[in-house]
Amino acid sequence: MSIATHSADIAAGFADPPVDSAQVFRAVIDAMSRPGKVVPVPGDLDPPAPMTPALAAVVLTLADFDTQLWLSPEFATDEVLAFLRFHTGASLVDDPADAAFAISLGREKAPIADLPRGTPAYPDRSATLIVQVETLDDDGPLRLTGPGIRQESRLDVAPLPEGFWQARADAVGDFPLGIDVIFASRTHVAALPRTTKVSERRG
Amino acid sequence: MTATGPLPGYNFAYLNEQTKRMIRRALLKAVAIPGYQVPFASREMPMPYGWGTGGMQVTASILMPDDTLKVIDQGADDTTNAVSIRNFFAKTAAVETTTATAQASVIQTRHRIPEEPLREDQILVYQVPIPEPLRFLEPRETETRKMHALSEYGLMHVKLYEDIARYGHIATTYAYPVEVDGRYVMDPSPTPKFDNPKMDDCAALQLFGAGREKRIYAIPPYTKVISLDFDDYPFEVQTWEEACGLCGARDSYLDEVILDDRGGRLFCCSDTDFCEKRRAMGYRGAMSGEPQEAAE
Repeated sequence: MSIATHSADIAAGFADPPVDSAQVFRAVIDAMSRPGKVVPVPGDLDPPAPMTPALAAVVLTLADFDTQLWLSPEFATDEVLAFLRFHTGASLVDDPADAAFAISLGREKAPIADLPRGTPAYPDRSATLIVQVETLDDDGPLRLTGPGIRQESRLDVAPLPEGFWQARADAVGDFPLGIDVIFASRTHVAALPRTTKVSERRG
Repeated sequence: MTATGPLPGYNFAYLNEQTKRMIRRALLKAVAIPGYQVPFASREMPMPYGWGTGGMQVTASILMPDDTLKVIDQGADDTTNAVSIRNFFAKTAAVETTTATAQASVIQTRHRIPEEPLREDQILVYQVPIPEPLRFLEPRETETRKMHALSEYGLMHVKLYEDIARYGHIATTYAYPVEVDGRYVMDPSPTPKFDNPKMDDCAALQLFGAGREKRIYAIPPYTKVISLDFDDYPFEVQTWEEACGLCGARDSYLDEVILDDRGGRLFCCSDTDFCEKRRAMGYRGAMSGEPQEAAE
């Protein structure tokens, strides 16, 4: 695997990391504590394709040398690898079972069943799946209920692979074990902690 | 760095970025598993453990430059702990500070929840001394962790029952255990049980940091928080026969202040902002030294 050796080959990270990452984190925790809420991600990153600015901002905010990243085939390009290695220092793992964060593109099949769900004593030792999508709207066919939601919230997220919702439901069916999901579009994020119940309702 | 910016030589909000990322990851898992205590690598802070180092680390990790910070200690904005922490973040993060609950976007608290209902755009950060509600019943962490894993909370009910057997009522008045979203039993930190109902279905995100014990936990907004009780001994909050001596409030948590050695005492709101706001609106209590024009 070749690694870009000149800093000029690597897209810039946050201009002001302490402030930029604080603002991105507040967007992420707002999304995680209010499932279905679509939150704008501040910043003006210009990451290598196929990463969107919002996805790159979330990863740069949360990943570092303490975290293991699993990248889907679509993201495992030389440019993305160099970008993430340089800015986060995170170790990249081949086996999703070792991942703290797994990153995949919406239309790709995400390795949901293989991600760590934690243990009964330590359910926090579980993965967060970050899925980059094209559409993210807080009005849509998905009906969400659970902690963080007043009565119910709606979500439209696309594209997702066939079987995504069933795989996610299986992964979170044994609370407190489970995985948490962050969706990132070009400019926004939304999140589904393991506590959120999702049902599809057309119209 | 400008003259109005954070103190030169310090990172924004004091903590280094790797520490903040570690705490932020813990916070996200805490929100995803309501009431569960996430272990985190608590850092040394420039004050002793027991003075709110956990709350400060959480606040430092969530703070943005355009936040407005309020810090309270037992409801008061003007005690040493509250003033010091407020000044600390005014210096290291250059954030606006306030004593008005309604104007704050982040409120760090030691042992009270403001009387004024919190909003969706606010975050409440609790300083927690002992996060484990089962700790005084079972000292071994390996065992309490197993008890949480198995939802084995019978011992907690025995403790409350022993209160009834001994005193005729549940005598636990603060750090009163709650059940979060039907799963984890959680210590609400030593807030008076008067504040427990405010945790239920709260519009604001509630974050808890225990620095010495190295635990972070959370209650997402609009989450069911139930105070443990029995059908025949339902949960009740404290009540007072007195009204606030300064503002006349009858619905707030009152502190009892001894005035002299002849039995003189003043009951007044523990939430100083709530009390001042009421007095500014014209409400007067029996001991305000002014005519009780609009007193209730």
